[in-house]
Amino acid sequence: MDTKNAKNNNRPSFLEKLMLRVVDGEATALESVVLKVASKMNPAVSSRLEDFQKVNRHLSTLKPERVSVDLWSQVERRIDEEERSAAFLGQRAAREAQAEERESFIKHIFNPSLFGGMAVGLATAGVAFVIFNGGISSGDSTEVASNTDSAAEEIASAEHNTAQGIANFVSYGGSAAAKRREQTYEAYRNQRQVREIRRMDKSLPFEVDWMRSDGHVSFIQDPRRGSTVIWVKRGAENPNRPQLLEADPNLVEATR
Amino acid sequence: MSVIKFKHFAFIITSCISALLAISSSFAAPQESVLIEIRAIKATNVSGAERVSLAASERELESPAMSDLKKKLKKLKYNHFSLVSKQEREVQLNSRDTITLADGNVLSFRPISKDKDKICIWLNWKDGKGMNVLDTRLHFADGETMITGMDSDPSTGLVLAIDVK
Repeated sequence: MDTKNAKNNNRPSFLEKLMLRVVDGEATALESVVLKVASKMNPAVSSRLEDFQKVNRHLSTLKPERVSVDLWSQVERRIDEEERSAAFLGQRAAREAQAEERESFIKHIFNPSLFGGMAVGLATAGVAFVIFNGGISSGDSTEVASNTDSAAEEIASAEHNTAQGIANFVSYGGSAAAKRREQTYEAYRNQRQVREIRRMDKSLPFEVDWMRSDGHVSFIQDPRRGSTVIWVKRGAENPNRPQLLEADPNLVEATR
Repeated sequence: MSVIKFKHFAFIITSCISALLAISSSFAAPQESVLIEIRAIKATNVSGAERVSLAASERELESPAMSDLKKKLKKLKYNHFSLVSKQEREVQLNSRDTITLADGNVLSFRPISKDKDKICIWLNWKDGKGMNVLDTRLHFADGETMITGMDSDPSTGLVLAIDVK
């Protein structure tokens, strides 16, 4: 019961609400008249109204304080980070949509009534394939296994790069995270260098999707002849660094 | 009862589709293949005193096996080049092949796609110690030679000239 009363005491009464509206200049003419009459009839209302007016006057004398944090620079930096992440990892929204799509697809696949039928169907297809192809030799199966391995290896390579990018981008806070951020910026800077090389000589004989090396990779280029050599130096300064495509300006300069 | 009927129906339909796919794949046209030629070249720095070697290198660079690479090889910091091996493989798209080169170096490759004038290929070069020298996926312009290399030690290097057709 006491709690209920306390709650009721905390709530502004009808008159207090009216006073606030009048002080803030939001009241209608009728409301102002009503309040005037009430304050003349009741001195408590009059003093309460005066309190509100004092507070209002005090608040109006305060000047707006400038916030020391430059909000726009923070927003700008965040946009920049998002753009970089989009460049390395793809659009964020698209990934979420893909995840949802995958989830619904998996649910659909594991529909218990369909699953049994499909499993037997695939077995039938396998038998039909063997019949029409005259059987699978051991060499073929080795090749299939080898192809599967290489595909997995290739995917793993690509995923390593992506995972590295994710690790670099997602982590915040702490010195390790700061180091990773630096690596991301470094990778970004090197990607930019590769773009500059492409601009320098548009007749590159090949386009690179991705590249990884345990060594130090340089593009040795001769702009006049339009050819590029990919050179790997053993014993890189940092063998654990992320995937980099790096131009060595000294080597480019030396060939001119 | 209706669930059992549905299961039978699903089984029959899936079996038919799978069997049709298997038959059609057995009669499908053979996959496209890509011709890959890999030349391994040993690059060394020979001092001016060994003029005989340098002259031999120049002659080798002029030979038909290496004449097309002369300009590109001249950009490297070596002055003596000798062809170690030349291997040619015809590989089907999406099939992997591996070539063993000098000093335990191994080059694996897999052509991924072949367009009108571009061939996409995955390359993986590992040296004798298992170091990942180069792991990349790139698009070759038809008829172009890609030159890549690695320094084995301060005065020696292994250069690969890769042609994809």
